[in-house]
Amino acid sequence: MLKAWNVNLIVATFVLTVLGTFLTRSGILSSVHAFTRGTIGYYFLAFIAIVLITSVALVAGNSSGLSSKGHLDAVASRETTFLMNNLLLSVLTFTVLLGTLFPLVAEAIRGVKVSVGAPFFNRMGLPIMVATLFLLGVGPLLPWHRTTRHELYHRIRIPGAVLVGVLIVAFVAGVRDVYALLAIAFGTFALATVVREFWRGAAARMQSKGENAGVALARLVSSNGHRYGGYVAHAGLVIAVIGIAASSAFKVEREVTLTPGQTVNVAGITARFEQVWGRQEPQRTTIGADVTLLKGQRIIGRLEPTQHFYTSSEEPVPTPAVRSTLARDVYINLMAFEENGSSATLRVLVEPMVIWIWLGGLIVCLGALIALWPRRRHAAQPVSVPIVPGLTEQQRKRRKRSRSRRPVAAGATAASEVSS
Amino acid sequence: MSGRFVRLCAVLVLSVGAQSLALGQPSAPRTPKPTIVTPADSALDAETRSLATQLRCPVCQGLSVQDSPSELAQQMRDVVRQQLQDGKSPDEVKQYFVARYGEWILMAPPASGFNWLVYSLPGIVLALGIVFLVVLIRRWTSAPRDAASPATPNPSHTMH
Amino acid sequence: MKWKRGVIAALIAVPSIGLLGFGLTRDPGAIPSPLPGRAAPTFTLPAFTRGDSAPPSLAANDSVRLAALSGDVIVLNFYASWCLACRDEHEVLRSVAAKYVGTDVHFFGVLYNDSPANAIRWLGEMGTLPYPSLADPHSRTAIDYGLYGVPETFFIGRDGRVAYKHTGPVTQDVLVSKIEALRAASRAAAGGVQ
Repeated sequence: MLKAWNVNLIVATFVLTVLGTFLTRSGILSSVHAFTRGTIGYYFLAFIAIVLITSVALVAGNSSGLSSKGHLDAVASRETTFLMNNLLLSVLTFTVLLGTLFPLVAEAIRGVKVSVGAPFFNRMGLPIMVATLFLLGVGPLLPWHRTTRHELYHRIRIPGAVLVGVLIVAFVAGVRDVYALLAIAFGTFALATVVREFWRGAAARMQSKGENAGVALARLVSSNGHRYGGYVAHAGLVIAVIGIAASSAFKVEREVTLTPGQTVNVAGITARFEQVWGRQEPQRTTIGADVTLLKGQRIIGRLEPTQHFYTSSEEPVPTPAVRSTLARDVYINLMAFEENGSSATLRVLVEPMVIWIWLGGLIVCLGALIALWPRRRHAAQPVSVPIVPGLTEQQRKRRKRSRSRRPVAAGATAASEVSS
Repeated sequence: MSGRFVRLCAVLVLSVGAQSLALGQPSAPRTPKPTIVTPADSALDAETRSLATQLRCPVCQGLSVQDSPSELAQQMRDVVRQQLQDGKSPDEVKQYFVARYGEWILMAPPASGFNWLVYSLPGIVLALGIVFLVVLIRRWTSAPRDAASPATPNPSHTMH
Repeated sequence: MKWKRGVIAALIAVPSIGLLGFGLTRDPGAIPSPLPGRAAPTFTLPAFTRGDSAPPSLAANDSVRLAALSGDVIVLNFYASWCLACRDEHEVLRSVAAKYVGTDVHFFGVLYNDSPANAIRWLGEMGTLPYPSLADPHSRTAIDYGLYGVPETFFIGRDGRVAYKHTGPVTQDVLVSKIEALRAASRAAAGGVQ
C-alpha cells in the first residue's frame, strides 16, 4: 500500500535535509543555529532546485509503476493506526516547516518582519505529539487485519484502567497543564501495553514449554527480536516523553541577588553563594561564581556557573553549571555580578526527571539493537502468540499459504517461511 | 570594549588580592553567614517571567527576553516588571514593545490578519488529511481481497 | 496524466525556490523600525559632558528635555565606547555637528550600556564632540526608541515626529541631506504636534 506516498516521503526527507543545511548556512534566517553569511547560499539554492525538480520529475514520471491497490480488512486494525501515525507525523513536519519559513513568507507578502519562535511550535506541536503518543499505546493493542469487539475490550481493559488511574493521580499530584496530564497518562498507557505484551508472550512460553520466567523472556526476545525490540523502543520513547512532561510541568525557577554566604531555597534544594572569581585565559576572560548545593545541612555538590568574555564579541557567553541526578537537574546561571565581588545575581532552576529523557533515548537505541540483532535461522517453529484468537485452524492455514507466495522480504520472515 | 576589560581586570585583581590577604591572615575556617534569602515568587514575578518568554531579545539570535543573558534583555525585563507593577495588562506591555520594535519583537506572531495563516494551516492540513484517509480506508475496506497487493505484512513475526 | 503531475511539481518547486531566493536578498538582522512617522518618545536625561560648543544655557550635569526643543530639528545618536562601528561615524558626526552650532539643529549623543567615565575617556581618545552626551542609565530611553544595537541615529523633525532612523554608522551624505530636508519644513506647518 501507499508506495507512491512512501517514495514522496523519501524524496521530501532528502530535500528537507538539504534545506536545513541551506537555512543555517545561507544566513537567510536569524537563529541560534544559523552561522556564516556568504555566497554559499546561492550555490546551495541551485543545488536544492536541481534536487527538487529532478526528484519530483522522476516520481511524477513513474507514478504508474508505483501505484498500488490497497486492501484493509477492517477499520479497527493495526494498519489503520499506522496510517493515522503517518498522517500525524507528516502534519508535524509540515507545521515545523511552515513555522520556520513563515517569517520569509510574511516579509515577502506584507513587507513586515515577524518572529516565529518557541511559543508557536509548542502550541502547534504538542497536540500532534500527544495524539501520536496515544496511537503508540493503541497500536500494539489492535491486531492486524481485524478483531472482534469482545477481543478489543479484553485487550484494552488493563491498560485503559492504568490510563484513568494515572490521570487521576497526576491531577491530584498537582499537574494542571492539559498536555502534561495527557502525556503522562497516554505514556503510562503505552507502557502498560508494552508490559502486557511481554507478560503474555512470556506466559505463553512458560505454559507451553515449561520454561521459567527469566528463560521465557530471554527466548521470547531472541526469537521475536523485531517485535519485542520494537516494544522496548516504544517503552524508551514513553520514558523520554514522561521525562519531558514532568520536567516542564514541575519546573521551578528563581532569580536572586546574593552576597557571599547567603543561601536561597528552591524546591527543596539550598544553594549557597560563596564568592565570585576571575581568570584570564589566552582568548577570553572568565568570571565565575562558586555555589554550594545543600539538602538540609548536607552538602550534595558544588557548582561553578561562569560568564566568558571574548575579545571579539560584545555580549558575554554564559555557561550554566548543572548537577544531574535521577530525581532532578539543578541549573545555576550567573546572570550578573558586582565588579568588587560583593554580590552576584544567580538564576536557579530545578527541573525533575531530566535524565529520564536521555535514558529513554538510550532505551530506544537498545530496542533498535535488539530488533536488528542478526538471528540464526533455526528450523524449530517459534511459538506464535495468538494475535487473533478467533481464527480457525483453516483460516490460519489459508493465511500461511498466501504468505508463502510472496517474495521473501527479510531474514525473520524467511525463517518463518522455512519453518511453516 | 576597553572599558569592559578594565572592569574585568579589576575583578581579577581584587580576587587575587583577596587570596593574598587571606594568606596573610591567621587561618580560620570561614563560617558562612546563616542568612537565607527566600525570593518571594509573587504573582508579579511569575507574570513577568511568562511575559518575558513571549518577547524576543533584540540583540540575541532568537532567544526570548527571559532566557537571554544580555544586559538589554535584563533591562527589558525590568521595564516589563515596572509596567506590570504600574497596573498595565500583559497585552498593553506587549503593545508597548511592538510600537517601538515592530511585530518582530513578539516570539510568536499575533494572531491577526495574514498571520492567521500560520496558525490555521496545520489544522486545515490535518483535517484534509483525515478526510483523505477516511476516503482511502473506505475504499480499501470494500476492495475485494484478491486485489490486495502482496505487501500486507506478516503479522506474527514482525512489528510492521 | 503525466503533465498534471508535472504542473503539480512546478507548483511546488517554483514558489519554494522563489521564496528561498527572495530570502537570500534580505538581511534577517535588519529590523525595520515602526517609529518613523510617530511622535518621538520624550525624555529627560542628564548630560554627563557638555561638549565643546554646547549652548551656554546648558550647565554641567543639567538635564536635557526633548519637549523643551520642539520646533527645532534634533539629531539623536546612540553610541557606546565599546562599539567598534561607532568609531567609523565619529569624525563625520563631529565635523557635521560643528557646522550647525548655533543654529536650530541640535545634536545629542546618548550613551548606551556604558559608563560616563568610559565615554569621556573614549571621547578624549577619539576627539571631543561639539555637542552634549547624555547618560541613559537603565536604557529606558534606548528601549523607548526601539534600539537593538549601536550606533543608531534618529532624526526628529520640527513637528516632534521621528522622520528617519539610521542603523549603523551614519555617513556625511545621509546626515546633511536629512538635516537639510527637515530644516526646510516650515516652522508654521509644525503646529506643535507632540
